[in-house]
Amino acid sequence: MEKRREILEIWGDKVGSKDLVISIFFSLLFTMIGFFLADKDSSSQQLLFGLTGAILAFLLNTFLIKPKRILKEEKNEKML
Amino acid sequence: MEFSLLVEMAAAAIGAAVLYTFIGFIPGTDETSVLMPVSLALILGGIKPIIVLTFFVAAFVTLGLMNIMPALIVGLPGGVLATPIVEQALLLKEQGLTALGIKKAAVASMLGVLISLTTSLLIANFMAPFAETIKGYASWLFIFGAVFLSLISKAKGISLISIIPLALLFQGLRVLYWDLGVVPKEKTITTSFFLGITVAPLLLSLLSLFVKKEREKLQTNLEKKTWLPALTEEKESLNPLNVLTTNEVIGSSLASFVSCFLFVLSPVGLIILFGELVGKHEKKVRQRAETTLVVMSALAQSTYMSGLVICIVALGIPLAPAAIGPGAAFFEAPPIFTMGNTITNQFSRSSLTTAFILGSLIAILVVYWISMRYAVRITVFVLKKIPHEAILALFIALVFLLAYMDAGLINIFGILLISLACGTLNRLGVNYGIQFMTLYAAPFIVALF
Repeated sequence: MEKRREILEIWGDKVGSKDLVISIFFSLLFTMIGFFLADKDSSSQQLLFGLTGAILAFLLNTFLIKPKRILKEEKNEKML
Repeated sequence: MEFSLLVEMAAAAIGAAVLYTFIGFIPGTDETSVLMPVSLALILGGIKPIIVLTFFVAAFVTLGLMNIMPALIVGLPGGVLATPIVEQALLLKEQGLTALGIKKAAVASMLGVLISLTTSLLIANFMAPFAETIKGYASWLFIFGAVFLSLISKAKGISLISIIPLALLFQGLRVLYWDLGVVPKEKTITTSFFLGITVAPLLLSLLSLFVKKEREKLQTNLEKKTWLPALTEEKESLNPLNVLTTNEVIGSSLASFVSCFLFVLSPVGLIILFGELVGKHEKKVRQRAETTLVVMSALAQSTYMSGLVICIVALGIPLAPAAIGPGAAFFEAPPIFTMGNTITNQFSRSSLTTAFILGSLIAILVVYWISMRYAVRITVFVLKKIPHEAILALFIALVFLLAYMDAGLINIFGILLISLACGTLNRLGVNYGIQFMTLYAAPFIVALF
């Protein structure tokens, strides 16, 4: 249990180590699947399919993983 | 220019403004790594370069303002350019002046865009006749640039020493790939090396997670909280007049104007320098924070704008930091652009100027409105919904994809090697600008021996 809750600070924000591994795995998997589904002779199609895979993986990761930031709402900020 | 092309360019600008609004709000995303790979992918993907340029201009203008928003609202900078602003932002936040800060930053940003766009287009037109002469010395200019950037950086010694070894690393890998036959002799790998440099600090942090001692350093306690301001339903007036004081208008206009002539210097450096120089004249703490914020917001636009306009419209070689890093794809994106056959060579000065004017004006109008109306809401959304893990993973996938496309499986390890070297140097203080300049100059440096 302890390992799972490990929080690391990378590139200015918090990540969970296990979640990071999962999200990198999905991103690489989807991107490469996209790449290899494309026509071998068309590099722009390979790029397009790869990018589509990357974006799909991003959406999936966003859906699966909870952000680690701790947020509190302020009650009475005076807005001018 | 055809009307249909202008419509496409305008659409690209709106698309960029919307997309980069969200990217701008994500804390910690570095400008080079969010701008360069996307414009590179679009160019290589076969989209008309002039449309990509409009998209790119709109994107950096959007980032210029949106990166400041999370700094003002929660004290986290949205990008590198917003880091100097955090101090003033927190001061204003403590006094409950976040909404006023947002207004001032948005108006100042608009002012910065308008002043620097006109000034730098004038400078570009003045410099264009000399561009051919300057280009003849391109290789020397890159070496000179790497040395110059080293000398003005905080880590002078290590930066100077690292130039030749880094050139050996880049050129060594290229020659190795040719020797092994993984790439044809006429192809010079640049794209993935660029990305390798860009994500080097990130990849190095990730790789160091395998080392227990390093990993412990990166562990954080969960207690640090980020305070979100409560949402209000009041609608802010969109009128940009009367938001800034006369002193703020004069200070930020003057700073934006002068910064255009200093386009070869580091944007963050100029932001800090001018922001503090102008802010110093205000005695009261609150007034000083507001003035500094205003000047810095204007400069976040003008430093990028001038560097990119002058390098892309007039010179055709990347000499300004904004062009060396974020704008790199418009100079080197083989087979479409290579040094000596950049976007400047392929398009008329009037088309390039149109792209800049259209992209920046559309973007600044869109983001001005978004920041005045929705800044707090977007910050809350991004911080609550978008996990940092997904962003990091996206970058890594992008780098691996382009590395693989450039030179196959071996290049993934090549990029790891570059990232280990460049990331370590980055930690020691050798900045992106020096590393990019060295990459441009690498064949020339190696040929000197």
